[in-house]
Amino acid sequence: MNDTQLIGVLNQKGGVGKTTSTTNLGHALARAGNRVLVVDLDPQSHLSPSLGLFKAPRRGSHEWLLGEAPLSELVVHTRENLSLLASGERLREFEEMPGSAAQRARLLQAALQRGHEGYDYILFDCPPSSGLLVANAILAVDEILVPVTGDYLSLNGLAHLLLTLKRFEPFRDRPMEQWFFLSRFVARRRLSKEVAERLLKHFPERVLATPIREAAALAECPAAGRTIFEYRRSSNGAADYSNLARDLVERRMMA
Amino acid sequence: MSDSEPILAHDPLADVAEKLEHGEVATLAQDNAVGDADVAAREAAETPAAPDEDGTAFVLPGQLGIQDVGELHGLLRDMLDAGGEIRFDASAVDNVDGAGMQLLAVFFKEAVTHGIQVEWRGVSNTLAEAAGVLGLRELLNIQPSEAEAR
Ligand SMILES: Nc1ncnc2c1ncn2[C@@H]1O[C@H](COP(=O)(O)OP(=O)(O)OP(=O)(O)O)[C@@H](O)[C@H]1O
Ligand SMILES: [Mg+2]
Repeated sequence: MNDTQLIGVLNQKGGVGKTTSTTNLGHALARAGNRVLVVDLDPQSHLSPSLGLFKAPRRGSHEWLLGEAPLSELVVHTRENLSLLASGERLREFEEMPGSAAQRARLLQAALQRGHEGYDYILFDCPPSSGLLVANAILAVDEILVPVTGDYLSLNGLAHLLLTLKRFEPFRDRPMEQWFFLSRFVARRRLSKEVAERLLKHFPERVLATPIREAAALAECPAAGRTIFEYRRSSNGAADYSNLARDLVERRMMA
Repeated sequence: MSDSEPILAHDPLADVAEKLEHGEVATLAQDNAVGDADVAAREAAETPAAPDEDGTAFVLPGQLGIQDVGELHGLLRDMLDAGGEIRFDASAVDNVDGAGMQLLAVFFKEAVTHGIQVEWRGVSNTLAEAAGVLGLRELLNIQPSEAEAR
């Protein structure tokens, strides 16, 4: 594969598993031999500790977006085939920066055009908001990957996201692929099952085959600074994320 | 509640599907949620680039935005085809977005390949700053604005 797949891990609802999925999906894809870059677009900066960098790099996506430094100077190599672009300390100033919003919403696009060679996948961990950082991701990526948890508010948040995406449509130069997957899934809960059914009904052929199950080990990983493949290699969580990575690559959908 | 009765009493996705089907979703260009620049860019489409009075420099519109790209691109292509030396007057550009900057960047790159010299007759602070922010100063041959130089 020559082209880089640009994937935004996106959901404006908080706590649905965006960072957990960026981390573990990123590592799963890297373990399968792909060259992967994970980019933290969230000023909460949770991606760095999730990959074991408890002292987060001072510079990162903020400097890249503003063209202050090339990508190669900012990325950190964390694992074989897995690089990280941290958020950088100044990313929290991004939303308040002066200048036209339309211009600032295209900074990621411009940054990518300055070069990002060598990666098979770039995953963007987005913040739970509808601000400019999310706008940057929506305008720049090829596809979005949306974790959906099994509750009513999650569906509600998803509805909101679909409207946001629609609003950006005229500003994109190419169509955007949209993939959904079930996150923090508890199969025995009736509501979870109902949410899954609704999701499938509205997005047939768009829901990846593997639900990520709620699992204590996945919640413990960031505290250990390790991915699930390092922390509990034979756990459900590790199996789920490596299957999800295959779903994404092979376009395996839930039936 | 019986076991077979669904818990979900409402499906927000169905609401959205309906809205989308009936075209009831305002796009950003319509309601201007990303900021004034979108509306500004749309208005600018009515004032495309034009040669100035003595025909020596092309005057760029006040707002160089995504909406202008199609029109300007054609114009710039014609200018490239005409060859020789090209001058731009960008002193009136007071609003520019990423697409406008991309257009200029592509133009300058193509000009270089065609051996055409491009000169600025005037550059607004807005354009100079945007070039700085996007790291395009060198390519576009634009100096820092006076405000930034200070
Ligand atoms: N499958 C899972 N099983 C158990 N816990 C999980 C799972 N996925 C995520 N978590 C935990 O849920 C919390 C939220 O997850 P995460 O930070 O990945 O969500 P997020 O969408 O990135 O949140 P935010 O919107 O704040 O960025 C974290 O404590 C995480 O460890
Ligand atoms: Mg997160």
